This record gives sequence, C-alpha cells and structure tokens, in this order.
Amino acid sequence: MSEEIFVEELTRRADDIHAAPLTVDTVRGRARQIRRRRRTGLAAGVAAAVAAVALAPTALSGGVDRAPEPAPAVPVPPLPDGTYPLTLDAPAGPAPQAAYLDNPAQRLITPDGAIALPEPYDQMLPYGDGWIARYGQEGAELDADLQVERSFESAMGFATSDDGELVAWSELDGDDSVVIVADADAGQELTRTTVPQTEARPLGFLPGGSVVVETTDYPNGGIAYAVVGDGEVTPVVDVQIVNDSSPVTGMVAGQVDYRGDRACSGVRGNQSEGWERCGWTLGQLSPDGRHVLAFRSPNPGPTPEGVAVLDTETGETVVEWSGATVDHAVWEDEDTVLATAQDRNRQTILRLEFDGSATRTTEVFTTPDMGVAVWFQSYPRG
Amino acid sequence: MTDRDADFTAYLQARQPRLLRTAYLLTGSRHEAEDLLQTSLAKLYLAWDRVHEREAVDGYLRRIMVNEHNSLWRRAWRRRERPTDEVPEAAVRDEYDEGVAAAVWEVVQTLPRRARAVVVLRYYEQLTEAETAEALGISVGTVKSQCSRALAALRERTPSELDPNRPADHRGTHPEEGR
Repeated sequence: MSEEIFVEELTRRADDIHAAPLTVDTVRGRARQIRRRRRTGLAAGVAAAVAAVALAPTALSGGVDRAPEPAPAVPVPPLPDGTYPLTLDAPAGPAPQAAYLDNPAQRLITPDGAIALPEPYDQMLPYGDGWIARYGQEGAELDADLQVERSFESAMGFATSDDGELVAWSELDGDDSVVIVADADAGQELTRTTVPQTEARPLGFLPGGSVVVETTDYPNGGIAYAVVGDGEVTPVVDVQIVNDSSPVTGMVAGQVDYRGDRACSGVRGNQSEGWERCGWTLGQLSPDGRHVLAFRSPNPGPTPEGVAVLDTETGETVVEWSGATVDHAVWEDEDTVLATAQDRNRQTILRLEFDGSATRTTEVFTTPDMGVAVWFQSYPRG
Repeated sequence: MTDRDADFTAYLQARQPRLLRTAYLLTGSRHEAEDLLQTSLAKLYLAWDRVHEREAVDGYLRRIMVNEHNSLWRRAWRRRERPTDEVPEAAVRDEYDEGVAAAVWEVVQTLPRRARAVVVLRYYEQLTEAETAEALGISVGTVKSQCSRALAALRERTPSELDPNRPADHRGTHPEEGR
C-alpha cells in the first residue's frame, strides 16, 4: 500500500462534489452571527455535552439553560438619589449571553452549556481548536479536549479584541516580557514584541491590532502603560492608569489625574483633552465606544458599590445603579450591561439596561470567604 | 459593492468548488462540508483585510477549516446553525466502493480529526510535509507519524488480494493456497 492510493481515492471522492452553493450574502449572514456571538465572549459556541458535563438544575428559570425568548425587563422607578436599585432579588430573566467562570464548581458556564475544567482557571479564551487559559501566572494552551499542549509563565491577564478575532497575552522571558498578538480562530501568532525589563500585562486592543499593556518594571516595581504594536513600544502619556481601550474608536479609558485624595477619570484619544470625573474609576468601554462603565470610588482599587454608564463624549452619567457591591461588569452588547452583584456571601449576575431595569440572569451563588464565586470569562481576573 | 466585497466575491467564486471538496473530505458529509465552509469563509470575511494583505488566504482558510472541524466545543453550535439553502446529499459514485476504495474511505473516516486533516492536506491538497505541519501548527514529525499510521491502518483493512502493489501473480489467490 502506498501513498498514491490515498491520493487517487481522495481525489476520486472529492471529484463528486461540484457545486458552489454559497454566495457572498450567505457568507456575510454567517459573519454577522459570528460577530454577535464573539461580542459575548464566545468565539463560536460551546457544546453542552463537552467533557460530559450535566448541567445541574438551577432554581432560576432560564438560569444556565437557554431561554427561548428574553423576558421583557420591567422598568422600575429610580431611588430618591436618582440611581436605580441594584439588588440580588431582582426578577429573573434569561441567561447571560456572556461566558463566566463558576469558581466553586470549577466550570465554565456559557450560553450553550457548561464545561468542567481540569484546573480552576482564572481566565480562558477560545484559541485555535481549543483555548488559551491562565491560572495565576501559569498560562497554557489547551487542546479541544482541555489537555495542556503547552504551558508558559505569563503576566496576570489576557486581552481580546471586541470582535474576538485577536487575543493578546504575554510570556515572561527572564526579566523581559514578550507580548504576543494572535489570530484566535487560526490559533496562530501574528506578532511577538519584547518589552524589556518589565512584566507586561495586556489590557485591551486599539485599532490595527495594537495592544495597551500595563508594565511593571524590574526591580523597582514601578507601573506604567504602553502601546505595543508594529514591533514598537510607545508609552501612554495622557492616562495615568489605563482601565480599557477601544479597538473601534482608539480611545483609552482610565485615571487621568489625581487631586488631593481623589482620583479623576476620563477617556482620551490620541490628541484630545476630554472631560474628567473625580471620585470615579472607569471600567470597560462599550463595543461601539459610545459609553463607558464607571464606579464611584474615593480611590482607585477598592471594590466599588454600584455601577454607572457614562457617555464617552461628555462624561455625563447616562444611568446609574446602586445598592450592592459590583466586583466587575462587562458589556453584553452595545446597550446592555452584565454585572456581578454581591451582598455579603451571596453573588449573582444581573443584566442592567439603560432604562434602569435590572434582571437576575443566574442562580444566586454562595461565595467563599473573602472571595467571589463567579466572574466573566474574558475578564483579566487575578 | 466595496472593493473589499468585490475582492472577496472574486475569491469565493474562484475557490469555492475546491474548498468545498476539501471540507467534504474533512467531514465526510456534504451537508457538514457546506456548513463548515460557510463558517470558515465567514471568519475569513471578517479577517479579510488583515489576511488578504498577507497573500496567504488559502492557507489561512485551511487552518480555520481544520480548527473549526476539530474543535469539540464548536460542534453543537454548528449543528444548530443551518445553511440558508438545504442542499441534498450528492450521490457519490459507488462502482468502486468495494475493496481498496472503500477501505481508503473507511480509514479516512475513522481517523481522529487531526490525523484526518493531515491525510487530507498531505494527499488531497498535495501539501508537502512542511506545508502540512505549518498549516496545522504541528511538527513535521507528527505529520510523518500520522501518515504512517494511516497507511498502516489501510494495510490492515485492505484485503491483500486487492493491494495494487502486490505482485500480479499473487492477486486473487487465497493466502492458504500459496503454501
């Protein structure tokens, strides 16, 4: 038996296929579906049957099971201070369209089902036919069966572009960091850029595949921010602490000033001198770059109470919720926010809409001592 | 139509038949092949500006197709996402589906997905071992070993009298009769 037999028989089989059924319109339609799903933190979708995980029944209708039709959110009146109530007792709604990690159960919950994880990963993103994952500073490429194909020492966080096409991480090489930007679908590295004498943590993408990184230098531990792209490392000068960047608008959100005992935050572009809000820290920019999440906080760092949506053009508050601790929040789409809300040792994920309404999208989890139970897959926790 | 769409349309028209054949060999099903190709082309469409500049479009698409097909966690979603137009399964010729032809197809269909991709790219797409390794993100040694295993599996499953490499005077002779 020789290789020629394979060549002949595969060619003969393939020759029976003559059609060209796909049009640009059908391809574009599928592309739109993919783009929508990528924005929720999924490159394509996750099989409920993967890793033979049976979803536990949840007390909440629509919990981790897909709800066929979203229940309409019920508008509620604002509180006397103008904010809307943020409570774990919000009415139940459809499951979140964003993947999150359930730490106590060590599983990844997605809109399509749950995957049992072999390690309690802090973050994992679709990559090639598998994943790229991180547990503390241990990074790993996982195959489709969640087996480790390669491991590396990494800084604490991966970043993904809003459209899900690109993923960035860093690998530590002695005292240097190598920032890698890769095509998530192909599972293929595109660029490697060395940032000398630092530990570089990717925070977000800018247009053209550049990445904003936080750098911690050796041996002093000084923190700075830089843009890595086209093999060059360029310092960020107009934002003191970067929270997020937009691959759509090129804007960077973060702390822009510090006055007395208060941090002041704003959104900055290449040459703009924009607004600033003191006593607030910023979070994620929306997928279209028009809004940014914000948290009232006297100083950067402490876990904030509540969450607000600000207009990136003006800095004005669009809507704000208060009443529970928000560990972090992400955009489900351009005008819907998902927030992990915590009250003592209880935690859940709430869907927040611009009319002020809030719905509970998961069961209520019991948090471990001094910790949290759930966080979003794409969030650089750690 | 934008330049981008015009370029993509030209690529689609020129390459679709060949790509659909590769997808068919990867999946073994006409319907799954069309679905796999549609998703892979959609991802190419989204990355078109970046990939097109690199003039490596076929290689990129092959890699996407293999990843998409291999990925366990994407399969259920693919099952739910149906192509716009249902295309009936093509009637595959079966006049040779006895003997070697059937054995080759059986071997290909029962190979693990990554090994199957190696065989399809190496023997149908006629990529070199190095090109196959590059396309799949694996080592040349892995390509060699996967091909050797496929050939060994074929030898096991093919009746020896149908082995075209066997001397002509042995064909059609029962092994016991030669003693």
